[in-house]
Amino acid sequence: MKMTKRHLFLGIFGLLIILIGCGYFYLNQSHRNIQKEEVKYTVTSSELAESFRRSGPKTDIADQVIQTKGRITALDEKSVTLDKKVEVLFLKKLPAGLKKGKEVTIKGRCVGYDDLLEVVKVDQALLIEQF
Amino acid sequence: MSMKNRMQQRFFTGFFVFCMLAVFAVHAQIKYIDKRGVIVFEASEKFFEEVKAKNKSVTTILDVIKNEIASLALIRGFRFKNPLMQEHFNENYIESDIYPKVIFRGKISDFDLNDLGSGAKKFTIKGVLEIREQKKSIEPVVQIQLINGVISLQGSFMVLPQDFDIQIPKIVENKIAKEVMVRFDFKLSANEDD
Repeated sequence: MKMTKRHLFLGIFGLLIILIGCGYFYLNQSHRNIQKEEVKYTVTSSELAESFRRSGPKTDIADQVIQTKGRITALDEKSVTLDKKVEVLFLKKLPAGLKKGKEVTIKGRCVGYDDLLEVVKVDQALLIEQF
Repeated sequence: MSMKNRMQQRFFTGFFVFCMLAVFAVHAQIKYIDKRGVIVFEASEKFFEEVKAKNKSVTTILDVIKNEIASLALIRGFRFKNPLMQEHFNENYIESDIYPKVIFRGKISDFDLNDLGSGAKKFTIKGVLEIREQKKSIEPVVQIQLINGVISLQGSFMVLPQDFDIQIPKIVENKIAKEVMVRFDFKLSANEDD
């Protein structure tokens, strides 16, 4: 009799610890790590721009990890623009060796479509390949 | 094709290219652009976790002839310290899948680029802020200064969540300020166009 009571107590105690643990992890999740996430869509810069033009803001691509390829048409200290259609903001500094006219493949998070600049924005990007 | 025709064609092609270049040159001078503007908003309450987010890639275009300004921030570009808060902000409050951006369009009163110097001057921007397809007129006071050809524009204003039809659930009502403070900092330059 005494044994079962103790078991019950231990059981409840254990459950409580698990619940607190779950709650703790739920409340203290870390930010997404785009570099580690798998690529959901692989598209060219034109397809990316086209998908926003076709379906407006309700495209499935927004906030997804994408991989895209294009020719650099502009660049600054943190970003490159591909084919004048996609602006890619790198997570850290601009990778070495990038210049206008080069073709690159990048992976990053698609943020959305910027109507003022008429470009699709990608951030937290990583350079996959340069040709 | 005769010689004369060919000459004429060449002349017109040349003239056309010249006109295009002239248009672009003027275009570049009247539009000042910032692709990495900063907007921070905060609705923190004392003793509770801070409710604050920052967007570091806000687009702003200023037409210095018409004195018209337009600013656009993508909602998904706002970063909170707490990822869970960021998720709730996107999914429950703004619904960024349906309303992915914030846009402001306005006009700077009594502004003249030629009067600007390195000392900051105060101006009022009269305009409309649009979030979730709800429009709200605002008139933020801004400090503008010109440093090495870059127009620096800083200011702040307050908005209410209900202005944009954003419902704050009862459970978190005490943790989120009634008024949201928005601060912005833009650095616009003329030669971003290439």
